[in-house]
Amino acid sequence: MNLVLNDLEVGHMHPLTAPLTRSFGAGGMHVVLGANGAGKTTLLRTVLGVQSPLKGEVVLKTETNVLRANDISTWGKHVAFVPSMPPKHVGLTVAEVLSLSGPWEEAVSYHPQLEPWLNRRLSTLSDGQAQQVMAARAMLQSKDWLMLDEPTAFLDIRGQRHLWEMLTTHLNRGGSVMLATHDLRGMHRWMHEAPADITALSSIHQLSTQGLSPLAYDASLDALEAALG
Amino acid sequence: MKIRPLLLLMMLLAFVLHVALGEVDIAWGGLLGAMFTGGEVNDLHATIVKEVRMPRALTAMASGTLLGWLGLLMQTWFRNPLAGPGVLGITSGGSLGVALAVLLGLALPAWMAAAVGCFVVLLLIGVGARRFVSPVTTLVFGLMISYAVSAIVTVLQSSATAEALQTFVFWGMGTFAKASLSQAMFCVGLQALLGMWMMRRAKWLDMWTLGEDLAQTMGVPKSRLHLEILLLTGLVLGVVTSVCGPLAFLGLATPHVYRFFHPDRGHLDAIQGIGAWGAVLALLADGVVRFTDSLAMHWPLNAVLAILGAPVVLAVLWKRNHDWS
Repeated sequence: MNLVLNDLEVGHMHPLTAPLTRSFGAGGMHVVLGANGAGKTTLLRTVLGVQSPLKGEVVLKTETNVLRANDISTWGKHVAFVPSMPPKHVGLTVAEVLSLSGPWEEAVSYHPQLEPWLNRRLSTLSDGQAQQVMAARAMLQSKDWLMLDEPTAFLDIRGQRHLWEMLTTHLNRGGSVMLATHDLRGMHRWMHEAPADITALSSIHQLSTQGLSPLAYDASLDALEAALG
Repeated sequence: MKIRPLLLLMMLLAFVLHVALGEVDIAWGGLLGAMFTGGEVNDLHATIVKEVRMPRALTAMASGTLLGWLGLLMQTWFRNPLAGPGVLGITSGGSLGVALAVLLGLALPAWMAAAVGCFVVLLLIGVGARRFVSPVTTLVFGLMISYAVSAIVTVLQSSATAEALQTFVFWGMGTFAKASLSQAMFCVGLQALLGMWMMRRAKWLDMWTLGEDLAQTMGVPKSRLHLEILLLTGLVLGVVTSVCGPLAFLGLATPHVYRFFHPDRGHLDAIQGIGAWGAVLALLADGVVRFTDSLAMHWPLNAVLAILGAPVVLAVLWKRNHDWS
């Protein structure tokens, strides 16, 4: 389903940006860049339905169907969340965490690297491992949209690479991704290595007080850095 | 969920021992035989069992379980291993109620005053609940209530009669011995109620440990969960505090004791384990109290709980410090 922002204002009391109106195509990787404080996290929380918009609305649209964020039980089946920091002090095992959102066997079949951790407690994993578990859990919850808030911020190179690969898997299965990140390098490499049919549906936007301004998805690293600097 | 027969057996054993042992040697053979054959009954023994030991053991068991569960609930809700049922300020409200009744000499039994005090604080929390956007706000609220209450209590104490002061201090020591059979049964009823609620909400509580935002996107209705937790905690704590006095340690310590033995479990398992451990710890502590009573030393329940509990929690934290660092 396409994710559509209709005249959307996000923020606490005061809007952080000009009203946002934009459609994000199903099946693509949609990256939101922006300086700290630009409102990336607030935008994601609003799309997730955790925070109410100040104005406007977020909807999921197909040609025949429209879903709104106020129906939280249905919304959760179409939009799942991966926070930037995997949770600490969780007594649950990896299998139990996955089971909160679906059969863990399914997660392992798509992400076999999870298998050896199944019976370990989430808090005994490294940040990189735990983050992969959190991403796999989100993919069990929603086969449709995945919202990630700087998911690679605390990961080493290997962890980052695993995470990007998991996103490719999700997209290959027909899912869509929205991602806020500062990881220009990782994102740039992903855009160049991902299958062309996926990147054709993808987008890069910069969030600022003026709103969302598009950048070319195949822009060079220098061009991206220049745009943000 | 895995049933843990060993834990449940341990709880049952502690309960049976608590009822069976005591200063008066009960003629159990005759008493139990009479239940089936309708034979001659030793009236004194029957009365001791029915009106003294049973209510006491039931109250200890139910309170231990209830406080253990509330401890788990608070530690999950605030995502803080040092949270306990006392953090909401409800127990402090009970103290204030009793302080007002006893120290000002109002004609109100202590348990009733405690219940009123607890529910006044609960009402305050309820009124403010909409403004408490996060658990942390609630935590600070509880802390401030505690400070205010202890200040007021100190003021009241400074002008109270020696007799009233003594009554208040004794109430503060806590006891399972003052409960009537109907009060004990009420606690057992609450035990069933809270137990069923916890089982029903186990999945939400598991999700909540993953993070506030994440839990909401997974379908946990935050404000509804918040309200249910506040209401149940207030109800249970109000009743337990009014029947037993302000029991400080059980709620905080029991989840740690449980996690020491079973670290890798979700809420559904924890509910059972903590319920059993809470009952065992309460019965054990009361056993010590009764033992010192028989030696005419009369250790207060709260002191025994702290003496038993503090080293246990310290040992647990010492051994598992990596987990909360």
